[in-house]
Amino acid sequence: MHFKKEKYLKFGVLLFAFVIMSVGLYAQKKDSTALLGSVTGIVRDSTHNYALSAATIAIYNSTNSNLLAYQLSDRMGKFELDKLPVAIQLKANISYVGYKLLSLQFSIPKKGGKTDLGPLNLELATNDLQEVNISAPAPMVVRGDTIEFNASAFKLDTNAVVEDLLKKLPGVTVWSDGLITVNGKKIKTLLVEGKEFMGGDPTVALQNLPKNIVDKVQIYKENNRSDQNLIDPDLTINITLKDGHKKGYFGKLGLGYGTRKRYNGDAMISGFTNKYQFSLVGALNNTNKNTDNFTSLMRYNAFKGDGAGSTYESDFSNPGNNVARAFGGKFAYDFNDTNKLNAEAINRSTEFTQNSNDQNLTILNGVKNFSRTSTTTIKKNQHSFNESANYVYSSPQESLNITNRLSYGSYGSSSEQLENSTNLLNNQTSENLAKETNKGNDNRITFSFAYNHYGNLLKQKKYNYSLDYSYGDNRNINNSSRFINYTSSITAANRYFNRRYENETNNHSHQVKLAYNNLLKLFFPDNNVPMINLVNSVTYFLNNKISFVGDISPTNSNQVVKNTFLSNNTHYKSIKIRPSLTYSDFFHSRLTDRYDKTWGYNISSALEVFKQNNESIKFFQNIKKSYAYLMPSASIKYSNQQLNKFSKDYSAVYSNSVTYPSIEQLAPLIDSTNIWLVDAGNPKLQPSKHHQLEFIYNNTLKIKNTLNYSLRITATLTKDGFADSNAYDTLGRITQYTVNANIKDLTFSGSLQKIYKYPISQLQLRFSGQLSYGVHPNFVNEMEIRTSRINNINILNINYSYSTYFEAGIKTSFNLLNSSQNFSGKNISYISKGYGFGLSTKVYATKKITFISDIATSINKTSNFDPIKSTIWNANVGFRFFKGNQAEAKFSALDLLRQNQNTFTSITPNGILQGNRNILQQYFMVTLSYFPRYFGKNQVQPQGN
Amino acid sequence: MTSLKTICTFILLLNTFVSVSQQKGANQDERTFRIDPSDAIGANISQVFSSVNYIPLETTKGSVFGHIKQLEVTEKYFIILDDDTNCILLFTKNGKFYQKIAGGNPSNQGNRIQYFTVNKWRNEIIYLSRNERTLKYFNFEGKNIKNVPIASKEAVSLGQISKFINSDIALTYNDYNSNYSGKRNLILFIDSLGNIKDQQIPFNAENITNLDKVDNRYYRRVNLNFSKKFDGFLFTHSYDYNIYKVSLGHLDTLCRIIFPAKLGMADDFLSNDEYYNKADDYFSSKNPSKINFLSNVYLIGNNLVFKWWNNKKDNLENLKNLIYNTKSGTLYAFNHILPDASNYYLPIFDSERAYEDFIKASSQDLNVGETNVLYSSISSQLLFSTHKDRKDKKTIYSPELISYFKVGKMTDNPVLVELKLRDAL
Repeated sequence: MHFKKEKYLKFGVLLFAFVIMSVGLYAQKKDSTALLGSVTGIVRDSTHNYALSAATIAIYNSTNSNLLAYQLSDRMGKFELDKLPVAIQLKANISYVGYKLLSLQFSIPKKGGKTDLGPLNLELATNDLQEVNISAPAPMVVRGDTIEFNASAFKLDTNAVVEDLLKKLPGVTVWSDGLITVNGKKIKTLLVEGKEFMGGDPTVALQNLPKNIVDKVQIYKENNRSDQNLIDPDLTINITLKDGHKKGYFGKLGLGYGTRKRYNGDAMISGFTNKYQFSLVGALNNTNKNTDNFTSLMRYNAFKGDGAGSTYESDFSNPGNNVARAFGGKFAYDFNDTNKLNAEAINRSTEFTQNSNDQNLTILNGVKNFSRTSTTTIKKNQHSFNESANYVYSSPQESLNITNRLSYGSYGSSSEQLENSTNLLNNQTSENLAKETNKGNDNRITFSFAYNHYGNLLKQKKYNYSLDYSYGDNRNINNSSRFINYTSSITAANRYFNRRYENETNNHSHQVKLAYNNLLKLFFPDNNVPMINLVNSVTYFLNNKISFVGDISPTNSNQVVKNTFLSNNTHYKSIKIRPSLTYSDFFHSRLTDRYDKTWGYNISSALEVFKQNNESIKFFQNIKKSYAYLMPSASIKYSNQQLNKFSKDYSAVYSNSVTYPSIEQLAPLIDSTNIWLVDAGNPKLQPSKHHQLEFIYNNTLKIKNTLNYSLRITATLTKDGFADSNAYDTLGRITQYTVNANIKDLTFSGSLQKIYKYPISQLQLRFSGQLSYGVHPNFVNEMEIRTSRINNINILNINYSYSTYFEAGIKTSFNLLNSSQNFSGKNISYISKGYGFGLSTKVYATKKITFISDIATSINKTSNFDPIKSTIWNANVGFRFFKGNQAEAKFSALDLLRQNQNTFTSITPNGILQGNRNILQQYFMVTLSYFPRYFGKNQVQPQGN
Repeated sequence: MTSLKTICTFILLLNTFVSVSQQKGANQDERTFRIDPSDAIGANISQVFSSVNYIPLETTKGSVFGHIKQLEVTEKYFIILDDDTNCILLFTKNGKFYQKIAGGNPSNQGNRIQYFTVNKWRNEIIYLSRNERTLKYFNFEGKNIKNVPIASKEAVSLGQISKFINSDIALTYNDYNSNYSGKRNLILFIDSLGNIKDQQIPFNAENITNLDKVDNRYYRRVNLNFSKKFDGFLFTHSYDYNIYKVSLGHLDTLCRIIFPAKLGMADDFLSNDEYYNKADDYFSSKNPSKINFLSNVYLIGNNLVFKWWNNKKDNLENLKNLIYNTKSGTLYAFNHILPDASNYYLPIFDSERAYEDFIKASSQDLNVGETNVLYSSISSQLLFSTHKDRKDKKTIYSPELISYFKVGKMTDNPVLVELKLRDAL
């Protein structure tokens, strides 16, 4: 084992070094002429005798037409560009909206290294429509509030995608998680042709659309928000496509097969026109890849290939053997500017098999009381189908939103478990054999309707109100069987069950919400008045449950005797009425060219009335409860933007909520087949009132390489929170019920982001830290044990990218959990520490070869147990074929070091749980993929570099 | 021989008679100017202005303000309205802070001072408080001397754009609101209680068929500036390319401007039924590039200074502020007048604020002394960043500027720029 690991390690390191060296050599092959020259000049319109400011000056290498540098002229029409190559032929293109392009050849002398082009005169264009020469377009143009980049001015690889183009634009940063910032400011929306693209995840456009079909990249400030702050408005990027390329499709089809009979299948096809867009994805694997997230699947199937740190990866910590299948799609249709339709449907199925061994150690007052070992086999399968459709109509006066959701799920499972328990103090033992089967289905439908009326703009009075209605219906059927054979050293405690359960549950809910906004404005339309909003919501919930429980006779397996205690029929109704009133106002103070400050506050008060009515054939489950609570909340916000210095935001929010006890907590039916844990009810249980106070501070410093940091403090107090009360008997069986106790939590969290940008590389730093302290009481044998938990999590991400050749990311994390129990003066604590380190690298060795390596190490140490270490190293090499890089062959090695361990440890309130499971282990795989792509009638001519 | 002479004399006389009769009814000074903004040229500062003076406005805790929304020049003071702090500030002619009149919390819309009028004869500053529905009168010491309630929200009062022509009468206009129907004349002379003393209609009567139809416009803007030459006011309003001169008892057209077809609205916009009540549709939706208003109109010697407005922001943006020499026909674009040594290569105009008025006042309001001084303003932020960019050029500034750059900060108050316009351009 040892020898093999070293061999793999050596191989990996050698391969890595080889790739790095070839990257280095490749980079050196580039043009190495010293960049010592500079050029200056003044752009003028000499016919009219004035200077042209914000004219675009672009310098190219005359021989190969490479764009070397570009700049906008200043107020006096002057420009100065440096870091240009000397002693070679250069071309300068000077352009300005409404004028003819001026193009001239020049070179910068080696000696002196400076050239002054003098006054450069532009002539007015004769035709208004003629702007610039198509073959040498201006890289950057300023039109009013919009900065526009011309994609054709930037020469990139034939197969470059939009993300590669954005990375070349000055001031634009594409972060490793897909976030885009311009000079430190976040881009709120990425649009293509003025519309959301494929559901709004910018990565889809960035990593799939070829750079060659892009006409312009426009960056502008969002103007239509009423609370827009004028010094720091939101930014939007809009990508316009070239004529003839405004529709197309792109996709991927990939099949992989590997050792240990592992396989992966992926397919994606997406298409768009100016009216509609659709995406279909399909996935099939038995390598623990989670197919639940549509966005994740879309990113995995992107043309550029998922970068270092993909989210659709084998989860080595997931126990058991998992086979997952998914197929689904999204569709969006624009009837016109005001009417849109969105629909999505996904069909998923999973199969799971697991074999495991566990040891549960119960420690009370520092003494080991009970030890329970168990061996389990589980098989599960699940299938679900989810659909949602949404129609939106919106205009400045009103909006209408109609949504429908449908879901259908079915599942089946069977398990067998053998458990042995020992009382370590008196050596009493017991054994339990349990077999369980479970199958059922769940159907759900919801429908909702939301209407907002903002008011007719031309009339004086603006009625602003909204009406929301939603309806839900759910039917759940579950049939299961449970076989229990419990024997122990106390014969009286022996149990035998062979029980069948048939449950059918039906739920209906209706919710209506009415709101009137800005009431005072109706009476004082001309004045600046605070906002008063009135809301009333009514929620009605109905639940009917029929359960039949029968016991099979030990002698005659065909004879089923109804268990009259557990068979039940319940009707539950609840109604919640919540009227509320909100009062809010804001104040604005500004000094033009200096600062912009806003502060606002919001106070609201709600009355929540909640009634529950449960009727059951079991008399003790007939419960009628009625509650009424007055719930105030408040918030204050302050924002201070100082031009060119910083932008600070502060907010303090107090909020609260109530959780009502459920019938199961008040008066459950005790199922005697639950050997180890018996759920008793507490009819005196009070609703828990949750209070939260939160402070948030955010600061963005506008310095050369923008720095952004934020702090958050959250304090929560839950009065009459739900806490467990456990009573242990001599065999270790627990009777548990819920009691009220106060729970406190305090969390400090902070984050910091900084970017360093250099001409061809950039470094991104992100740090986030969290320290939380909580006091959670629970009761054991009627005595209160206060558990204090201190949890500290720190994550540092460093991402480095060098031009288009190399990307690397380091992620380090440290977390500490200190759980201590305080009982009659004694303090017993358990400490769990975890260290994580991950290094992912992506190397583009040539335009066709990509090498990815991901190493993740984690060490977890818990008191009294040996540390658990694991290092998972995954690597793959991909080769692209054909001119358009449309085919790929990939060789992957997963868990190269064969480290994935199947053991785990976790701390429970009263002890420690350790176990092992069958788990995904090392495998190798070969994957072949094909990327069909088509954008428009004319096939995109690959523009050579 | 004698008969030929007689015939010639007779013909001459006939011509004179004809030409005299042609002039009959036509105003001696009325002219038509054809102006194409794209013909505007640039120049250096020293070619257009004989001197440029920077007057920093003292920044202290009590005098700090945002930007100059309105500027009035009196013999001793610069009186400034700032809408960021909602105050009227008085500075002496060398920039020292003198007094401040606070309008109240700017967050409250009803507090905001929209406009103030100065009565130089009585040394009064008057503005309308919408919240209180009163005209507030202040003296130059900043003291509130009286408050006069106004009759109703629709009443004409000194609260709208108005200028005093003597100690008792102010010139203003009728502010039509869309709910009003009925005939009303446009230019009004009112006293302090809003009583109308005289009225004028500023249209060439033969162009307008129905005065009622002129009234109902969605939005009207008006500009009034004193002209020393005529001892009266130059008046312009939306949808009209005529510049009128108004004084008590007289209304004449000073001149009319004709713009190129692309920029000029229909000739019969004010009289044709087709455009009735469709001003917003015509100028915002259908023809955003057409000029809808002329403002900042000053007549300095032979130079006509003005700014034109439309609803489009394109490459003509820098050609909206114009100086037209009526004698030579030369047209200058103010934004293209480049700083040179005579003004220390500093800017005279803040191009970031293109939507604002460029010339805020002229010395003609003073009615004494110079008549060729124009005032604009720029932010300290712009001055300091230009100064920083030129650090290596070692410019020798005026003593005021040296002290300003030494002691002042980027966050100081805006700076007034005093420009003396040359006559022969």
